[in-house]
Amino acid sequence: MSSRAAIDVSDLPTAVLDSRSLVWWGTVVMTVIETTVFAITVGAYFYLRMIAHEWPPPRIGAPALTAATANLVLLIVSVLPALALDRAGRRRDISAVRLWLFVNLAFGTAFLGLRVFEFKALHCWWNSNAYGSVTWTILGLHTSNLLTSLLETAFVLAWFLFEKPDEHHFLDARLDGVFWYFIVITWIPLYLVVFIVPRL
Amino acid sequence: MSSTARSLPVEQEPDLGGTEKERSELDRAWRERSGFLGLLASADHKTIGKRYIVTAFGFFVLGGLEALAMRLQLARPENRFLNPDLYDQIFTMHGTTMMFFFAVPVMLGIGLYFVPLMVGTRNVPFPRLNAVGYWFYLIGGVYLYSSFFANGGPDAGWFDYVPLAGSEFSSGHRVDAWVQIINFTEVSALIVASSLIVTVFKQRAPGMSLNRIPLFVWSILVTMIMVIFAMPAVIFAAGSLNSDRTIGTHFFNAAEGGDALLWQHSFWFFGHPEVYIIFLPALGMVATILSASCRREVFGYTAIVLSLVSTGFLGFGLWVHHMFATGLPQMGQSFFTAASLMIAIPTGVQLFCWIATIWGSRPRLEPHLLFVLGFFFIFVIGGLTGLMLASVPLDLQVHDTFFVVGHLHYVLIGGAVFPLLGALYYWFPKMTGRFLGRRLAFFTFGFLFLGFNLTFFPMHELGFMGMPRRVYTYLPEKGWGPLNLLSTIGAGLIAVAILLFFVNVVRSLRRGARAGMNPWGAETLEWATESPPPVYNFGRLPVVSSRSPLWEEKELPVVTGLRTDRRELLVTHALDGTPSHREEVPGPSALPLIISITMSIGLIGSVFAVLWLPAGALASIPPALAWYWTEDEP
Ligand code: HEM
Ligand SMILES: [Cu+2]
Repeated sequence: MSSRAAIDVSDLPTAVLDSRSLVWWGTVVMTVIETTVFAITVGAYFYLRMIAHEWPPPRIGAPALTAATANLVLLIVSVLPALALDRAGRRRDISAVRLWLFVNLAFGTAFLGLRVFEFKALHCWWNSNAYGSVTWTILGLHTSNLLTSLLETAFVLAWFLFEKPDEHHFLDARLDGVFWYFIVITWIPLYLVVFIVPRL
Repeated sequence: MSSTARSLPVEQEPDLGGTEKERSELDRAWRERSGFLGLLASADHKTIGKRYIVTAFGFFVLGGLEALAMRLQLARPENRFLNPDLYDQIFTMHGTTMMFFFAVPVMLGIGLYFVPLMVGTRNVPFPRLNAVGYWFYLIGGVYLYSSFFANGGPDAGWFDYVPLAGSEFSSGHRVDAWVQIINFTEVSALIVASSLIVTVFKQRAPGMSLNRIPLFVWSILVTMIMVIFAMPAVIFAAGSLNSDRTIGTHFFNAAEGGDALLWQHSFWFFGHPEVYIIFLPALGMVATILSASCRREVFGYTAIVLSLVSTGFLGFGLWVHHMFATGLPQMGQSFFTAASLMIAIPTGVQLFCWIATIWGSRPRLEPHLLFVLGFFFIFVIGGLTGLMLASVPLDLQVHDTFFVVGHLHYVLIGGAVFPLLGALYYWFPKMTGRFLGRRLAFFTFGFLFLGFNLTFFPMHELGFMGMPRRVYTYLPEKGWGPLNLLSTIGAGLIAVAILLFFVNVVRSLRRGARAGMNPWGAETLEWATESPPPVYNFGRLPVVSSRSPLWEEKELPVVTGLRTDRRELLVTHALDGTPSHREEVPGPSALPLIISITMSIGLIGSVFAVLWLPAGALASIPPALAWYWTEDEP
């Protein structure tokens, strides 16, 4: 059984910066996994709430809203630099990518700082009761995603500052923005669960 | 054995072409590092797949020795071979080993080895990440067994029900070992799932539209999607049990608003799909073996794909049937009974398609076909007892008896181990370039089939007689002795069968008859390259225009113009498989191993002090950075 040349691919591009690329698909699969982890944890939250007599348990009270809401606003605003980063990556604009990576890093760090007050706003510890355990877990999981994203941003920024970026680094810059969207999008329902549901 | 039955004339061997120069460039571009350190750096999907398979069989032996120990202990009443404490550890180790370290990883390994070949690509998309998956699996297993040999084997059963597994009733670090290995094995499964999902969606040969994907690849795809949705549940379960035990959270502590049933729900939301994660790849193997043996396309391609997909969905609706004895509301019970019965439909559809495939064809009776026939037989019995268990009144009667032990082994061994051994016989020539011995394979089958039924059939009866599972001994007055002895003799025969299998593998590796490219005259793309395949899989990538490219084409159409002087993949569109672009993938590196070690130190250390966890994460930053920095290196 011999072979015959049927398709010539030498003209096809050697890199693409969008949803056709393999890394993009990898990132999507990863966000699906993370979302499932969140969904399961939220499921556990409602399960525990269902069997509880009082939610939050007596003498704890609903979580304070100020810090959390301020943080939510900050997070939603931070979509703008992520969007700018995404665009800059697509344009292959080195200096803009540098700038927006830096701004993203700043936003992320600020958000991380405010996170401390969100934990405080729960009015209990992880080991106070099941309510505390599950709310701390939700916040903790989201924080670990945040830390991952910050680390990734720092890596990409370092590359853009010290090395010569090629196609796939521009893709990384874009994906850094995309991962940030994920962090923002997941936080909105999680915020509702942790901070609003106890008031219902 | 006649030589004609075993290999095709040379002119019929598929040949994808490629010039001498292209070949030598490919050899250089894809070269693996040499020496011992080179072994640690491999990023080839075939090497890593083979490692999964070999390691999984190593664990199969350990789990099998544990099974033998249990059977010896139970062979007669009031036996004193194992004490109750050791028995608890051993059945837990056996279940944990077989489920998490043998059955799932071996399927992952075969998927990793064959999916890229069957879809016609050169490697998985994230080769280094893929290597991390294997190292996690290996380190997790070594950790579990180190604990066991240090008298720290988990002892609360493979599903670790709380409150038994909580710190109040299981102090010390035994259960912690179980909790941590969950993290190791799940990370590894999730990594393989990501690799293979992207491979199947984005790296298929040009022309391989969705309706031309080989059935085995479909089965792996559905399985991997199940992994993605099932594993997070057990990660949550194990994580919260871990924090309950170490930092005082209260997920499962009723006194502080927690609930023991939360454990059962989250564990079985994973645990039931887990059975399908083991079983679906086996269905794919059955289909593959049938079409090659009958030399015709499997009957009802679309029906089979749909039933694989619907089994995947239904698999998530059944978890509560493991909890019938917990007093759930009546309504819920009826629902889950109905759903559990419904799962019989897609399986029945497949059974009919297989029978129709065999019907009227003249299949060659090679050992792999025999294993498939054995699977049919056992699986029908296992399925029937499963349907019995799905009805609540019966389940309440035999819950936690040996009936369940008999049933689960019919499903797992009949449903997975038989097809697996068949598939290994079938694919061994591709992986090694040599055949497994035919006669020895028939003997393996004979001993396994006999031993298997002798071991597990009596267990159903023992269950009706009231023998509870997980109890280290029983009184002579019970009258359970004879059947138990029979079961133990059966286990001995299984051991003989497995021994024969290993002898066959070792002998054939050195002295087996040489196999050509396509010794079974099969139709899928893994047979269109050398045995064993070169690192880059194909001299030129194949193009397909049907479901059975090696049967339909007189001349194999191929891709030209892919660079041969660097590790380049062809990326195609997800639905129709038309070419999209080319992408370079990273090559071998030791960093996956290094980062697996730093992260493992954090995970294992956290059993003893929580601070190890952030320490391990911090220690992983430098290798991660180095990884990012070297990704582009040739
Ligand atoms: C090779 C021959 C095997 C023998 C003789 C055997 C024997 C046994 C026995 C006697 C028990 C019950 C222990 C008890 O409840 O007191 C058991 C439990 C179990 N076996 Fe096997 N087994 C074998 C293979 C397998 C395989 C291949 C798998 C999975 C793929 C498997 C999975 C399990 C599981 C999940 C349990 C339940 C453990 C628990 O109760 O926590 N076994 N086995
Ligand atoms: Cu089940």
